[in-house]
Amino acid sequence: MHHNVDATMNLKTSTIIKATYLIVSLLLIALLVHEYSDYNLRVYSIKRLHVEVEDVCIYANNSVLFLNLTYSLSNNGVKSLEVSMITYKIYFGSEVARTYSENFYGSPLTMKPLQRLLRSIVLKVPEFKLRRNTVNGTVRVYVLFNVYIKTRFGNTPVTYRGAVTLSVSGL
Amino acid sequence: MRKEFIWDVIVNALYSLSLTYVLFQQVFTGRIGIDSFMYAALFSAMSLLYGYVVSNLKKAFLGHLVSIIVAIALTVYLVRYPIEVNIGNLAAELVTMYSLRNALVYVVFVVTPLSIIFISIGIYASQR
Repeated sequence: MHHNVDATMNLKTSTIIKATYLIVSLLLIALLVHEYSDYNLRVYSIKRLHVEVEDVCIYANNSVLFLNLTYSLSNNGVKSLEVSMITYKIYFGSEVARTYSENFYGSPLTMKPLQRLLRSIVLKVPEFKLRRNTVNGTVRVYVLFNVYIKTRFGNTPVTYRGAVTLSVSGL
Repeated sequence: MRKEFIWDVIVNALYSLSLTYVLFQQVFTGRIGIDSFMYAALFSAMSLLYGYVVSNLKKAFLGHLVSIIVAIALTVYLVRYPIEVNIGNLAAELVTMYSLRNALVYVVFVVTPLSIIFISIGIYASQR
């Protein structure tokens, strides 16, 4: 009789542990599916992030030259993306005219799905570099953007390029 | 016999997928911190249950070894695939190397020692 009770208890314990094992492992698998889908969609959203140069103009103020750059940042993906930093490298012809970075580490720039941001920056640019790259009153301006996005790997840079030809004969 | 084999396959597949979840949390950072130990504790609990459910030393360690290999391969593939499809092959290769290294370091130095201990405890508990 005593042995019978022991056997029943053992069977019960074994069944409970088996059930716990199944439940916990299925729970972890469900979490894996959720995490993987989030990761997958985030990578897809990074691919769909787009930066486009909208307008570039150079103007003189008190004999100092400034470059006004307007660009759009569009998230065409399905997940919100957090931008932690944007670096700009501005070329006149093939010469680097100015490098600049905007840091958003304190409060990341959040790009919601289908959101389009229009941003503008004004930078001082050296006149001598503009002069020596001016050909027939025009200068070719290239902008290289490095957009750092918060990912599971850390802050990952994504590079975009834009180019415009400006007439600078009036300066 | 066949029923027992199917049950063994299910138990090992669940164990392997649980480890895949833990590795999926770890391969991106490459650092062993508090989170790593929390996931290791979770997996240790899974190993304890696994040891109890399998209740056979030889079967458990063989299953554990196979599960680790499958979990590492699956994790690396899961990390690599979206990068390969959306970004490119070069990025995918870099991510593969990075995630494989992180997974191996975590498995060798954290997961395996703990799981060996907890599987043994689980087997011992099942024999009582």
